[in-house]
Amino acid sequence: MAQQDEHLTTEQLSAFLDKQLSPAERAVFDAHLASCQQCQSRLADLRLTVALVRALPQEEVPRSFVLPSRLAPVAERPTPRPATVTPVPRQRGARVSVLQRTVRAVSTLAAVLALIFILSGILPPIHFGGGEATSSAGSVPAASNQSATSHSANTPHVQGTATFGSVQAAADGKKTPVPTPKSTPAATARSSIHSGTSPAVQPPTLPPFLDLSRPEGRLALGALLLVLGIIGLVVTRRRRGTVY
Amino acid sequence: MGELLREDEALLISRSQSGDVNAFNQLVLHYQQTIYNMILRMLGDRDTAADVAQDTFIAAFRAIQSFRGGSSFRAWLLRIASNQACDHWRRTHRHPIDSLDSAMDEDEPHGGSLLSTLVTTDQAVNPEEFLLNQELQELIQKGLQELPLDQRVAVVLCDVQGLTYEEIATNTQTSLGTVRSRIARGRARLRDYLYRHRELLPRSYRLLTDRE
Repeated sequence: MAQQDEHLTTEQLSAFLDKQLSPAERAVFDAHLASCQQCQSRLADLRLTVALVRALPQEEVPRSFVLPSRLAPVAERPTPRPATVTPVPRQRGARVSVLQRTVRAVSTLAAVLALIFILSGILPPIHFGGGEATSSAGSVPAASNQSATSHSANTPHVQGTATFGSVQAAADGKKTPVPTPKSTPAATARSSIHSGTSPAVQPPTLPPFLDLSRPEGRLALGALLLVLGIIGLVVTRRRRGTVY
Repeated sequence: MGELLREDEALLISRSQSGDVNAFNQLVLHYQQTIYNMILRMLGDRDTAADVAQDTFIAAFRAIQSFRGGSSFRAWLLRIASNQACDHWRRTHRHPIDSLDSAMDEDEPHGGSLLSTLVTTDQAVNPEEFLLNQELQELIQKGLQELPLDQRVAVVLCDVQGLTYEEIATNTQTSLGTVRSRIARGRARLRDYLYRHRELLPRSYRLLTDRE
């Protein structure tokens, strides 16, 4: 009932003219239209508008639009193959584009890696050389010192009657044997590297331009990857231009 | 131009697909009036419509490989034609009337005078038999050109070319609901345009009450 009181929308009127109302819509439409003078007039207006457009005459063409036969060679280029063969070039095109996409992805990855290597080669004192050396050289001796002092401080409470020397020996034997022998040689080795004798201590097994622990090595590898990446991107771009 | 048999059309299409311009030109001769009129109603200018119609057939020949048998070739051509016409309109109209202003499309019942009161009752009884004079044709054409492009395409395809809502939805790659809405809004706009310019309507299309 309430629906009948609402006026019909233009869309309903328009769809009615094209018989595009669903049965449910049609029922509401009919019920309202029968009792609404205003919607009847609106329907008449819309019907007249449509009739005027439909009454526009078909005009004769001012000239013929047949194509000149010289157009044939231009348009014929993709068509000489019979229809049954057309899937083949399309498949090849797809395969080429997959290959291209792979090469481009790998090239991009190489370029990104290259930039990382180059950056790490340019900024060694901040990130690699300085940071690593100070943290390892500083922390290990500090840890061993700490353990040594803590042992000497704790032991009197644990074994009150024993002599000072025997307590230290016992503590060394019981608790610290595992950390101290390991940490101290490492600390000494690192400190010797730090003091400037590293080439003698660690003989390079790789050629210098591939030694990643050295900034020049990272720079060289970065440059190599960058060149490869750029070549890959340029080649695939050029090839794409010719394929499509 | 006589009717083209479905089998003949299929043969001409397949010959066109293998590059036969002469076969394609037979299709051109058959459909050129449809295509020209579609574009003319979209754009309004005869010379422009002729140029765009020519472009449409060139584009259709170049793209004919993509036509799949089974669907309507006429509808396929009309799609290319409406795309070409829309492209041309957008190129030449810097500030296109978009559907953005469709919010102002009034959908409420408009009171006041009614367009049908402008037309003699005799003709209103059987409006399909209108013989429009030049002046009225031009007024309707101008009204069509006032429509936003998407509504214009929908109205022309529906009321000039007689496509079904389904065909229009395929043609414009939209939903049936969108087609229904565009046609309705386009017709309502056109109705309002004609009413606003009722003084341009020839006397024979006015009711006696309007002449006093």
